[in-house]
Order: sequence, then C-alpha cells, then structure tokens
Amino acid sequence: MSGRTFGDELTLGSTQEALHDHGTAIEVPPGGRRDRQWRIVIGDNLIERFGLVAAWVVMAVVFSITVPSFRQSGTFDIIFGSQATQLVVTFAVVIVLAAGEFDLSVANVLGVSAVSLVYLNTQYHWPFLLALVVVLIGSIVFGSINALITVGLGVPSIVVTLGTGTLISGVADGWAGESPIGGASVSFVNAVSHKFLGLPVGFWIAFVIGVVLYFILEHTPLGRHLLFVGRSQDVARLAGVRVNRIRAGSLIACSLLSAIAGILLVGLTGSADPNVAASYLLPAFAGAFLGSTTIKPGQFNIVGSFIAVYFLVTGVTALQILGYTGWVQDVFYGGSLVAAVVITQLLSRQRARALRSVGSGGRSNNAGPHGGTDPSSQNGSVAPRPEDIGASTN
Amino acid sequence: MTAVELATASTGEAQGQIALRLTGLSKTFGSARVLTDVDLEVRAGEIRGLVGRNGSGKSTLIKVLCGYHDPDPGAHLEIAGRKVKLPVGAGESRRYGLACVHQDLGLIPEASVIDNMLVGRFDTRLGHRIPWKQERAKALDALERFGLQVRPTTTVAELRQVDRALLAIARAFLDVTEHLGEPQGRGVLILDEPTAFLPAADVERLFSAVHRAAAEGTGVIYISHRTEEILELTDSVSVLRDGVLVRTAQTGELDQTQLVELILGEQLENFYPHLSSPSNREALVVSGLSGDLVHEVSLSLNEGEIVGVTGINGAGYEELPYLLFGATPPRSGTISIKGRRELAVGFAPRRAIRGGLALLPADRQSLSGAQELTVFENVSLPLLRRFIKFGRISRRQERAAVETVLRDYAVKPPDGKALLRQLSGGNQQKALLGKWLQLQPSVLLLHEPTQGVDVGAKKEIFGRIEQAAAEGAAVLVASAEYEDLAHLCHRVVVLRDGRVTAELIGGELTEENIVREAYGSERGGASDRLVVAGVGTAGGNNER
Repeated sequence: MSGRTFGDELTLGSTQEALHDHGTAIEVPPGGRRDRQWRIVIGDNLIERFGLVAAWVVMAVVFSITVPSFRQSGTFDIIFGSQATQLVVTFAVVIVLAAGEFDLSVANVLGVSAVSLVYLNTQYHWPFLLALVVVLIGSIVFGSINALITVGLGVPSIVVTLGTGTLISGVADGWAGESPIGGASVSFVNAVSHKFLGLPVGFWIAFVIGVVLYFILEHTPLGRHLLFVGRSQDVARLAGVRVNRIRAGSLIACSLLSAIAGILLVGLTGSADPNVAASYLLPAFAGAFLGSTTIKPGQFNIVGSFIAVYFLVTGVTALQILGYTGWVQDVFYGGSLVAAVVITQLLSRQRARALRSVGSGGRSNNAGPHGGTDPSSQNGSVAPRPEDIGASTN
Repeated sequence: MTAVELATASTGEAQGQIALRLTGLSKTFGSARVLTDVDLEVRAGEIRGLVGRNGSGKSTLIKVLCGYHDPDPGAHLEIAGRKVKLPVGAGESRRYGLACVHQDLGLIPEASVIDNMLVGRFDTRLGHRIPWKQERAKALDALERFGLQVRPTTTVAELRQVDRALLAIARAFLDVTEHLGEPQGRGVLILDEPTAFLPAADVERLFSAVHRAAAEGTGVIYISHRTEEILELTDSVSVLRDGVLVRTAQTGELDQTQLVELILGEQLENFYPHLSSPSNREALVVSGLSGDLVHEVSLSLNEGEIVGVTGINGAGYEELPYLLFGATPPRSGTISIKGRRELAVGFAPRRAIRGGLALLPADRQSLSGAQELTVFENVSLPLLRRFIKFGRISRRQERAAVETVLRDYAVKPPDGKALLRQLSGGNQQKALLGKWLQLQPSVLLLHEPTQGVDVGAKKEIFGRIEQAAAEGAAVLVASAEYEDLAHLCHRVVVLRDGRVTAELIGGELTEENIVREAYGSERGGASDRLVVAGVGTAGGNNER
C-alpha cells in the first residue's frame, strides 16, 4: 500500500537538517533525489498526499483482474452503499481527534441509538419521528456529559468515554434486551435504502454530512480554531479561541454523529442489533488514522478518512469474495490501524529529528524562564495527534 | 584549587597544545555551498566563540564535526594531535575526544543524575565487567567540580534548567577526557547555545562550568547569539559569514559594536531604532495587580510609549504580560485600557484581544505559535473573521493579508505554505510579531521578544516595535536583556520580589542602573555579575 511513500520519507533526514541550517534560504536545484526530498519537506509531495488514493486504485484494479466476481456491478454497490454508517462514525472520530480529544464511546452510542430508535418505535409505539428526535437529543445529552467530565473536571476524554460508553451500552442492554430488534418503520427503511444515482440514500446522507464537515473544518474559522485547539491549546487560547467550548463541542458533535450513524444503520438494515455496534469502533479509528496519512498528511481530515474507509472496505470485501470471512476483517482493520499509526509516528520522528538538529538559533526555543506561566496546560487531557499517538495513551 | 590557581595550571599545561585543528572544510548541499574552505584551530584550554547569523554555516560546521553531516572531500581534522578520519560518523565523535552539548542537552528526564552521567559510557560487550564503584566516584567528582550541588539520585526532570545544562557539560567533559587519556590532553567541547533556555541569573553558573572545563585543558567552542556573552566568556572569537570564516580575533580586541558589525558584515549605523516621543494620553493603567509572583503592582503606559519591565529571574516582571493579558489569572487588581475599566480577575485572553491587547509570549514552541501548522494558519489565526466571505474563509483574502505581513516583516522564506517550524527562530518571531501587529493593538505585550533570534532579526524586530509605538501603541517589554531595554525603552520599571522598586527614565536609564536596581545593591556592570553570583570565576575572565 503506502510502502513507497514511506520509504521516501525515511531518507529525508539530511536534507531536512540542511534546510533548517539555512533557515530555508538555500536553493536546492531541480533534479536528483534532493529535489524530491525538498518537495516532501515543503509538504507538496504528491506521493505522500495521494499515496493512499493510488494504493486504493491499484488494489481495486488488481482485484478486478484476479477476482472475477469482484468486477460485477453488485460489488461496487456493496462497497459504496454499505459504508454509510461506517463513514459517519469515522467522521465523528475525525472531528474529535482533530480537536485533540478521544472518544471511545462512538460505537456504544451508535448501538444504543439504533436500539432505542427501534425499541421506542415498536415497543412503546412512539411516532417514529418523535423517537428519532429523542434519540438525537439523547446523544447530545450524552456528549454533554462526556464534555462536562472531560473539560469541566479535566479527566482525560479517553478514560471518560471508555467508561460512559460501556455504561450506556449496559443500561440499554438492561432496558431493551441483548437480542436484535426488528420492525423499524418501513417507510423510513425504504427511504434510506432507496437507490438514488445507483446508491442508497443512506450513502448520500453520509456523503452530505462529510461535505458539511469538510466545509466546516477547511473553510470556516471554527474549523481553523478546532485545528489549533488540537495542536496546541495554549496557542489557541492566547489567540482568543474559546478552547473549552471547542473541546466540549467536538465531544458533543461526535456523540451526535454517532447517533446519526446508528439511525442510518437502522434505515439500511431495518433492525437494530446491539451486538454488531462494537464492530464499528476499530474501523472508525483505523479510517481516521489512515486518513491522516493522506490528502493533508499529518492532520486528521475528512477527505482522507473518506478515502481510508473505502480503501479498507475494498480490501475486506475482496478478501471476503475470495472466501476469507470473519477473522479476515479483524486482521485487515487491525493491521491497517497499526500500519497507519506506525507510518505517522515514523514521519513525525523524522520531522522531530530534523527539528532537534536545527542549528544555532534556527531552533525556536522555548520558553525562557517563565514561558511556562500558563495555567491552561494543567488539564490532564490526552491529546491525540496523528504523530504522537504512540505517546498519548500512557 | 582557587580560580587563579586553576587558570595558571591550565595555561601551564596547555601551552601551545592544539585541541582541534580543522583545515579545508567545505560542505555543499546540492549545488548550494554552505561552507567554503573553513580552517579552524582551537588551543587546549581556550574558549573560542563561534558566531554568525542564522544560515552563516555555524550549525553545519558543528554537525560535520559531530558526524551528522559528511564534509566534502579534502578536509582534514585533528583532535588533540591525533588525525581523525572524516567523515566522523554519527555518534562517534566522543571516541575521538570531541563532544557537543546541544540546546536540548540529550538527557533522560526520568533517569537520575548519576545514571545520566553513566549512561552510554560503556561498551556492552559480554564479559566486560564495569568497575561501577570507580565510575560512580569519577562521575560524582565531575559533577561536584562542575558546580552541580544536587543529590545524585535526583531525577533530571526535577532539576532546574541550569543544573541540567551543568550535568550535560560535566558528562560531555568526562566522556572526552576518558576517551583520550591523560597524555593526549582534554579534548574539545562544543556548546551550542547552552544559555538559550537559561534565565540571566543562571548564566553565570554555566559560565563557571565552561571556565572549569577550559581550566582543565579542554578546548571549548561556544556558540551563542548573545554577543555580550561572547564578549564576557570567550578568549577568542571566530566569525562565520555566508559559509566563510571571515575572521578570528582575540575577544579583548573587540567591543560589542565591532563584534556585531563583524557578524552582520556591514556598518552598524543604528542598531537600536530612534525613539519617537510618546503622547501623554494614557493607554493602559494597571493598579494593584497581584499574581503568583507580583504583589500590588501599579503602573501606567502612555500611547506610543515603550516601557520595559525587568528584574532578576523570579522578580515577577516575567509574569506581568501574562497577567495583563489574562493568560494567567491574576489574584486581584484592575486594569483599564484607554479609559475603559476592566476588572483583571476573570479576564480572559479573548476579552483582552477585543479590548485591544496583544501578547507575544517568549515561548514560541508552545505558546505563541503552533509549530506543526503552516505560517498562513499561524499568522491569520487572530483575524480569521475578517476574511469571511459567503460564510467561508476567503483563501484569497487570507493569503493576501498574510503575504503582506510576511513581506512587510521580511520573513524568509516569504512562503506561507511552509510549516512554522521550518522557519528559523528569527523569522518565526518576525512572523508572529506581524500576526499580532496586524490587529493594530492599542497595547502590545512582549515577553523576551528577541530570545533566540540572530542579530539581524533582532534589529528588525526592534525596528518593528518602535514603529508600532510610533503609530500609537503602548508597548510593554518584559525582558532580562538589560542592555536592549536601556536602548529600546522610553522607561524601564524594575521589579524586585514582586514589587516595583525603581523606575528609570531619561539619563538614569542605563544598563548599569538597571542591573544595579535589579540586583538591589551597588553591584553593576555585566562582567561583575559573574562575581556577584559567587560561584567562583575560574579561568581567564579576570585576567583579561
């Protein structure tokens, strides 16, 4: 897959150092390897940005040639249409990671939302729309509780959401039982599963959500603020950004999106199964992290995660067609998550090394005697960045 | 041994011995020649300053010596009289008797002082028994000699920055001398901006450690942007300009202006800007402000006035900009900006910005800029709202605004797409200053605005600060660079133990007076500070 990207990156040390030596003032002439490295440094590198896209295309082509049934149009539909739920959860994870927080409760919220929607609708005979609104509001309340504990009390979100997510799943199991519930509103199921331009409406909903989130992240001050909060809460705060509000907002948005994913799942499958929800967690993180290696390498980004989700599902689908089922999904998703974080870690180490070796004064140093007079860094939040994910879980 | 005895001992044994001889060193990256035919000779026991602007080739030179870069063919290196095969090989240099202490020191924060001293000093060959007791004793002895008075079991993370630096120096010293053995001499120590992280008050302790190493016969190459440190500490100084070693001189022959001119390669007409006179309208009034360090501080700034706040480390001056900006919550006090009264308690940066304040913290790494984001994103952050068009940020307007800033502030390269960390310290600082000044704040708060920037950038930054004042901003500069304050400010307020103890203005505003007021006694003058610190001035300083 992105092996090539990766190899290139590993060779760039010396030139990066040179770059720092000279405050980027030296001109490196075109041609030769140095030139290529130079562009990687600047961040323009096409291989790095589009490596995953290329890998995806190559994989699709290879499977089309080697696996006859992969070419059938049904496969395309399965691959694209089936991922609405996964896409939305992945976006939820991207948002929260971009803001520097973790949310491990996404799959729980997804499952509980799906179950609640169907259960309220079928067992309690609530009108479908009312149930839907209640589920959405419930997810916002849930996200607010996560936010309150994380931002208000300063408990790392990774721990908070692990606990609250498990808690809410347990409560839902106790309330609605642990077996799948069917019988969701037929008109809703029909609407979501209706094919539009060859793909289910559910997919288009996820797509539109993606476009909106992309717009917010890339083109609005809110998105830019989120980016800074994720990178450095102190810098953001000193620039007048309402850091806590953004952190809280990202957690709430994440829960809300997870609930929407759950609702889409009901629409696409017509039922709610508390047991399948958990299977969305790992692919969501794999997608978010793999996505951060592409399009805007080093940043969690919507387009990248979109591509990553499809990269992953293409692989899984092809392997399933070849007859490997069940376990292969775990191997593939798990392997991809590990590969994604390893790549980002290596890239950042490369960058960090270049940074450390910056020469006299080229290095922006730190702090001085009292640079540290800043109180806001005391909240013990675990900040996930693509590059220091390795260190962040301790 | 006393300082004088040591100094004599060193001159006695080190006379004529060459610690490092480098000839014909060139280095090219692609077609860019970064170093051209550099010759460098450092005697045993000599402290040699190595100066030059960012990009002059200093760090490349050091990296070649340490084995990070391979030099172009044709260079020769001798350390302590022994030929060293080039390229050195990364991490190999200590074996030849040359050690480099970088800014980041390379210590393991979680490990104890003694473990840091001993780590990596042994072969891990099987069956090779380490004489632990002996090694430990040697390490403890070195620590003591370099003035590190802490328990050896203390972890590095608990140490003050200056003690960490001393530890790194002691370790490097022990390494090079061990590898060489007595007859060959004491090797070479390269110190790459060791004071960049240190408050002024601790610099003397580091200096005496450097003198100690030199007194034992080690050749020292000392790199710093701070010309006053070079003048104070070194015996001789080599100047690199555009990759050429343009001159090596005895430090005693140079004064500050000459040194700066040598570095810049041009006449230093006016390093400090000409100050225009402030108005008499009050821009900022602070009364009864208290924080962790300052107590009941009251002061006021007029429009167009540049006011320095200073003192020794811990005196509280360094806290003021953060308190005023609401970055650190004050305990009590009020401030008013242009007559509008604002309660200081509960004041947040967001409101400070709206009230017309801007803060440029000293800590570029984690407070003033996000290193991993682009220059565009960093510079436009505080005024994104201005670029909104049809509900989105107009990239075109944003780009135009940022590019104007980069051009106006002569940021190199003027490429907004570069990541902030890819810029040199001076260029980062210019871009970040530009980020705040484009808001046209009525009060500009600065903390060590020229820390870690080269002389050229420093001059430009001073020019910008003056310009902002001339346009009506009140500027507060919290700094321990007494000389800069004396020239840059209309007025300097000195704090001691958190209280304002002196206000210097007009003819009284001199570096000597600032130093005297900061230390609270009749002591004055930069070189006397060495004595004041009372750690013993081993080595050549007094003799000079």
